[in-house]
Parts: sequence; structure tokens; C-alpha cells
Amino acid sequence: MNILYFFGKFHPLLVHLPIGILLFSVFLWFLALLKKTFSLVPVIRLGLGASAVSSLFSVATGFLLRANESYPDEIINPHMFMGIALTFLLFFIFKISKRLYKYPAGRKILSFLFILSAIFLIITGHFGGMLTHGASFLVPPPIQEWFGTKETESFVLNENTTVYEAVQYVFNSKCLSCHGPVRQRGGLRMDDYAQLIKGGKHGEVVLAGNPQESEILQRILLPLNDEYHMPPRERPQLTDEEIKLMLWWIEDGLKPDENIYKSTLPAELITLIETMARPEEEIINENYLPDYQVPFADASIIKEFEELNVVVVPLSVNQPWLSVSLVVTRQEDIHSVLEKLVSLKDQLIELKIQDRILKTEDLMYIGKLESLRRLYLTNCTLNAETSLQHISHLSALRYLNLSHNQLEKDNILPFSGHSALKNLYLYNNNINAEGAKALEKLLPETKILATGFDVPTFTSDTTELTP
Amino acid sequence: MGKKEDIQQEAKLRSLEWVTRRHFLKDCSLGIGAMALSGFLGSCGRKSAEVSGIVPSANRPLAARPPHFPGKAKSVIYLHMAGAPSQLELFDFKPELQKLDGLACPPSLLEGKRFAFIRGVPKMLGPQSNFHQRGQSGAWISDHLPHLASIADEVAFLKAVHTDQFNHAPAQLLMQTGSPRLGRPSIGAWVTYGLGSENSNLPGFVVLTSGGNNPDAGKSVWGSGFLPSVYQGVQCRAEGDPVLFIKDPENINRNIRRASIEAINEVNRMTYEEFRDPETITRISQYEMAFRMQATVPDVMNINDEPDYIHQMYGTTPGRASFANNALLARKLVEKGVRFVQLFDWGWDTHGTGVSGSIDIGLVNKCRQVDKATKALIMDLKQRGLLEETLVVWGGEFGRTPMQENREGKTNPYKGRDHHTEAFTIWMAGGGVKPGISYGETDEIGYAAIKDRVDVFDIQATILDRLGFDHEKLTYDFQGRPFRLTDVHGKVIKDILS
Repeated sequence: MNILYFFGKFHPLLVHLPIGILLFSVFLWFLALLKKTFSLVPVIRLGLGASAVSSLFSVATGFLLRANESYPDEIINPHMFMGIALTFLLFFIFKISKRLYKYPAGRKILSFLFILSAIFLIITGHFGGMLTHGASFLVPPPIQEWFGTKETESFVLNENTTVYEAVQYVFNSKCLSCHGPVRQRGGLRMDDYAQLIKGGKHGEVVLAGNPQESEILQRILLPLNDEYHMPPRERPQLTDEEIKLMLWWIEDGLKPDENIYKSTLPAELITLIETMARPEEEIINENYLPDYQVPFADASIIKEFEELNVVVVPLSVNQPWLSVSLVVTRQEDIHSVLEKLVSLKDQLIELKIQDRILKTEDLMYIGKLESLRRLYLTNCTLNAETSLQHISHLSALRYLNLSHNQLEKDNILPFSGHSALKNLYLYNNNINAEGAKALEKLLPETKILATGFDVPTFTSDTTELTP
Repeated sequence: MGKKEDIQQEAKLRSLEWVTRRHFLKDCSLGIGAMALSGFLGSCGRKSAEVSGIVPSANRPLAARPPHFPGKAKSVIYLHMAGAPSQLELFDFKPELQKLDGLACPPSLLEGKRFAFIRGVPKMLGPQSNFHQRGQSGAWISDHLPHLASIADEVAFLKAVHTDQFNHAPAQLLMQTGSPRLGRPSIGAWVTYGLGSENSNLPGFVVLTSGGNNPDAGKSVWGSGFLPSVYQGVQCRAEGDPVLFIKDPENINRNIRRASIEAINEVNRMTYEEFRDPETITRISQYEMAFRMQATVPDVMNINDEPDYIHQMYGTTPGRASFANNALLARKLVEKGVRFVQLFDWGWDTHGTGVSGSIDIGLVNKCRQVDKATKALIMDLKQRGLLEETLVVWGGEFGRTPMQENREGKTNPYKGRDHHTEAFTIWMAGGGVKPGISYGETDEIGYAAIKDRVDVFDIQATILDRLGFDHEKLTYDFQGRPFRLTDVHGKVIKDILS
């Protein structure tokens, strides 16, 4: 690394000097205008001069940095031109402001120039930010989705998935921050097949059928603390399987469209691809969380419930979905709590009540909690008189636990044809195996468990072996 | 650079309340500068505990809290067979080892290795039990565990677990706290720190022991380490009062007890206002919880009211300390909202030095003590609709050698195996784990794990994952750096997740 490059690296640090000083000077200028205190002008000019000189240094270090790194022209060029223009502008304002502020017209010109310099500064800074943080750094999440600027696309596995898609997915997650659309260190861009084959400024990085000579693998396989090791030591490293996958693909001839299932890819690599393709959220999600959005519940409402010994917890951090447990709520509060819970009906997807007395009017309130997916009403004195039709219309229900009540088969009939319900637990009610079978016919989508399991006792369970 | 600031930040937290107005004025210029600096350098540093979302409230350290992502399991029942059961007699069937039975162990298996008791050249010892493939999944389980064998399709076997500790206490500590040395919080403490407790009338983390002894590593295996001690496991006794002195003394009624606890807590609250030591908060909430527990614990811990068919299912005898009683209690506790129930059953250390510690007799008797109750626990959870949200883990702290132990170079009076770190079996069932699979393989004599190896940290990471935690983000700042259960290790075993 040459010494000039070293100085160049101070560019991102130095640029903050003119930014800060200039913005403060602009602020002081308008303060001076407002309060008519032009005694501030020498201070403002001192600031202008300081920001002009410091931006000169910024420009100089910027040149050094640019000469030693590769940035996309469409961002680095406007950044550079605006930076240079800003520096000239600052010197110019510094020069003319000495006398101009004394005249009303001059003050107007100066105000205009100050605003112009601030605009130049913002534009320069914006492009600079794109270089260091990526284009979507300051774009709020919803806009990112509309414009599709999300950085890593997830990888979908189906019968048409190709080996290259899997390799590309590895590149996307481990390489693109330096060799992608934003930056191309060493002139190498890896988000596109053609660009990858073309290689970087020192030539090809992948050679079909020749992994030993392919620079990409050579660099990856260098010891971690080697200067030329890739990815750089402080970045996430490739796993052994990922390296094997890349090696296999290069050896196989860099084919862009070979199907993983029709290739001779070893089984362990197919397993790797299958695990890569399955993003974490998907595993958790399966029917568990709704796929639509709702606003977060009011914190003050949740607080009120806490005072009633009701446990209200989000399903996870940063999620609006709530789980509510009434296991420590006093019996006399149950009714009013259920009535109140209706205010959380959009967020409430899990409700647990056990060892409490529930009456028909309580069930009516539960029936209003239409987002419910998991519902536990265990040991709640539900009996033949209870009409479950108040809750049977809850169409989002996935899990319903009615164990330890005195329900009969006919109580369950209102649920007939419920298509979302996956598991219905009726253990320890007045429903026998036959009744459960009959219910299963009416609820073809649902696994019903009404009778318990038996664990036989063997003689060996109660005897000891002796020598 | 980051480390120094972290230490400073932690020191600040600790001494927050010592700061008077004058201190504040003196320190604030520096403080604000440090704040600006930390913001500026933010991108270089790690994410703080706030980012991980786990911020227990100081006043209610056990309040229920959300995990990082929705968990598949809501509770864990960890059945730790203290002493380490022999995988070679129970799950890891090695016909090749039978052929080598009685032959001297080849030097290649001994070179550079250390064993707890084996010295010189031991003899190989073939499997001392009959194996069959069970269920649809065809998992190998020996005749020692007939009940478990009948539910093989409910269970995921991890057959290539390895550890790096070959003595009981450090290995148990490693398994339960992520470090072979004392001082780290146990899994249950981490989970309680992360999730709080759903049922404020019960502890969030309960420990039950059987087999006549506490585990070798002592109570540290359910300790809270550097976490506030409110998160440590509460050990309940299986005989007599579940918690010692839980009954009010004679002539003291509930109201007097309430009044005295309120007075004590008032004093503690004043102390907290002055010193802001989080341990004071722990003390307050423990008094309050103890008061509530006086009413609820005897009730939950009482198995007398369970119907007869449940007693028959588990094989329980009320009033006698046993694994079966503890298994039934574990189900009751989970049903009431306890997040982590830790069972330790002592007596699995089968060296062959005595009858009870022998592979051919003692091990069989240990199996008989736990087998039926273990199946009963799983099936009972299943029939109550709780198995899908309760993760059951079964295993010891290490495995046992394919060689017969020759303590001090002599042959032991009974058949036995020494401690072995390189391969053993652990199984999981329920909460978000694929049922009916065997994951991982050992070599043909069961000496070393060769395929799909998992270490202790992987198991810990997987348990936390099932509860909804990213094990890398569940951290606590201590001594200037964030600590986590898995330290710098651990990979979620994705292949066994459902």
C-alpha cells in the first residue's frame, strides 16, 4: 500500500470538517440577518475560510482515494465535481463577503450563495454516502420495497434451480458489498454472470474447468491473515461447503444453467443448497403468523392489562402480534378482561385461559377476537350446555385446546368444515374414540386428539436386576 | 477501542446512582463527547443489548418478555442423566465392536488421548445389550429402553455429539452453562433472563433432582452466574415440603406474613433508591414471589391429586423421591407456564467398579427407573396438546468408551466403560424438532463422531433457537464485554428442526 493511498483513506474523516463548519457559518449568517447583528460577520468569514481550506484538503485526499480504489463512475463523478465546485464556491463567497454584507442587495446575494453552498454540500454528501453505505442506506424500508432496492434477494428453491443460482447466492451474501453494483474493488463485479466471467482489472478470476488456477479460489483458500485473502479477514467468511460448491461449479465448466437435480452435484452440496434456500423466517412462519400487517397496539392499553394480572407479550420483538395469558388473572376479573381484550383484537393471535370458570357470555367476547390463531381454554368448566358456536366462526384458528372440560361430541359440531384448524385437542372431555372419529369426518383438515395414550407397565419397570 | 468504552459504560451503569448533581456537571462535558464518539464509531462496534431487544425491566425482572423471533417452543424440559449413560448400550449400535470384544485396543486409538481412568492398553468391549430397529424411522434402540423404543418416531436422535471435558463436573457445567469452569449462567437462567415468566406465582426456572445425589458440579449447573440471581433455578424437593420452610410458622397467619414482607420490601426499596444495586430488586421480587409461591407451589408440587391413571402411566409413588415423580411434576409445571424445567437424575456413571456402576447390571436398573416415566412424560404432553410447544431434551454430559475400563491398569470387577468425549447420543422431542430422525454418525466401533458432528454449543444454540432466540444476540454485559451462553461457538442444528 503506498503512502498516498494511506492519506487518501482520511478523506471520509476530513470531509466532515467543511460540512460542520460550513453549516454552522450558514446558520450564523441567517442569525445575523435576523438579529441585524453584523458584528458576527468576521466570525462567519472565519468559518467560511476554514471550511474552504478544509474542503481543499478534502478534495486532495479524495483524489488520492479515487486513484487507489475503484468506484462506479456514475456516483464518483458527480461526487467529485460537486465537491470541487463547492470548494471554489466557498473561496468565492469568502472573497466577496468582506464588503458585500454592508449593502442590502449584497446581503441578498450572499444569502443566495450561502443557500447554494448548502445545496452543493448536500448533493456532494449524498453521493459520498452512496459510496460508503450503499444506495439504499437512507431510504426508508417501505420505499425500498416499492423500488426494489433491497440488497440481498432471497433464493428460491424449486425443480428448476440451477447450480449457478446457488453460487450466485453465495456471492450475494459474502462478496457483493465490495464487488457489486455499488463498489467494484479491483474492477471486479460479481452480481452478474457476464461480468464475473470477464473478471477484474487484473484479468479473469474464474477459469472453466480449472479451479486450481482460478484466482477467486486461490484467494479464498489463502490463510486468513494473508493480505490477499478473500473475503477480508473482518468480513464473514465462506463455509467449507460453500467453497466446495464453488469449486465444483468451476470444475464443471462455469455452466450458467445447469439444473442442480440433473447435475452430478454430490448429495452434501444439494443439502447445502436446500438449507441455503430456506430463509429463517419461512421456517418459523408456516401458518403461525398472519401474512398481513397491523399497527402496534397502544402501550397504555397493555399497561392497563398488566395491572389486572394479565400477561400480554408480543410474539417477538418488533412484531405487533400479541400473545395473552390469563393464567394468573383473578376469576372475578376474567369477564371484564375478556371484554377489554376486544380492543386488541387486531393484534391478538394467541390466548391462553386455564383453570377458570368460563360462561357463555365470556365465549361471546372471545368470539370477537377474530385474529386468534391459537386458543387454549383448558379446564374452564365448559360443558354440554356451553355453546361453542360463539367461537367456532374464528376462521383464523390453527390450534384449539379444549382439554379438561366436560364437552360432548355435539358441542364440537359448530366447528364442522373449519378449514384452517390444524390441531384440535379434546383430551379429558366426555368424548370417546368413536366420537372423535365422527368429528374427524366433519373436520377433514383437522387432527383431532380426544383420547389419551396408555403406557403399559412391564414387570421390568418395577423390578431390579441383581447379579 | 470498543472494549474500553464498554468497560466504561458498564462501570457507569453500576455506579449510576452515585452520581450527584456536582458529579454530573463535572463529568458531563466528557460524557457528551464520549456519547458523540460512540455514535460516530457506532458502525465499527457491536450491537448493544438494547438492539437485541432483551431489556428486562428493573422493577419486574421476571415480567414476561418477547424473544427475538416467534419461538416454536414455549418451554423446555431438560432431562439430564448425570454421570453419562452409555450410548453404546442404548442407541449407538456397533456390531463391529462385538467382533473386537476382548481384543487389546489398537494404539492408534490411544495415542495422544487422555482418559479419566483408563491407563495402559485396555481391551475393547462389545455392546452389552440387544439392539433392534424401531418404528417407521428405524432408529436403533436397545432392549434396555423398551418404552422409549415404542415411541422412536417421536424423537430426534443426535448420534454424533462431542464435548471436550472428560470429568463429570466440568462436562456438566459445559453442557449446562457453556463453560467448564464456574461462574457462567445456566441455560435455564439465560432463558428466564430472556423470556421472563408467564406465571408470576411460580419461578420461571425449576430444578428437580433424583437418583439420590445432586449432580457432581453442584448447584452451579442451574446457577445464574453473573446474571442477576433472580434468574437462577429454584430447586424443589420431591419429598416433604417442596421448598424448605415454605409453610408459615405456627400462629403466623397470611396477613401477618404479608405485612412483614411488605415492611421488609419497603426497607429494601429505600436501599435500592440509594444504591441502585440490581440485587436489591432481585431480593424484593424474591420475597414477593416467595409469598405468592407459598400458596401456589405446594399445590403444583403435589401429585396426590393426579388421577390414578396418570400415576399408572408414569409409575409414580407419591411421597417418594423418584425420577418418575419429577417427570410428572415437570409436566405439571410446564402446564402452569414454567419456561424451563431441569431434571437431574444421578447414577449413570458406569465404570464397572461396583454392581450399581456396571454396564450390564447398574445401567439396566437406571434405564428401568427412567424409561417408563420418560415415555409417559412425552405422551402426556402430547395428549394435552403441549408437546408441540415443549422441547424435551434427554442426555448426559459425555459418552462412554468402546474400551472396557481398566482402572489403574487392572481389570474392573464388573463390565464398565470410561468417560468418553468424542461421541455420544442425545435426543430431543417435541417443540419444533423433527420427529423420527437420527442425525449424525459415528465410526464403526463408535469411537469418534464422523458425520454431522454437533458439539455442546450447537445443542445450546438449538435449544435457544427453538424458544425464539438468536443465540448470538442473547447477551449480557459483564466485565466489559457482552457474554452469551455459547460464547463464540454454536451453530443451530438446522437439519433437525421442523
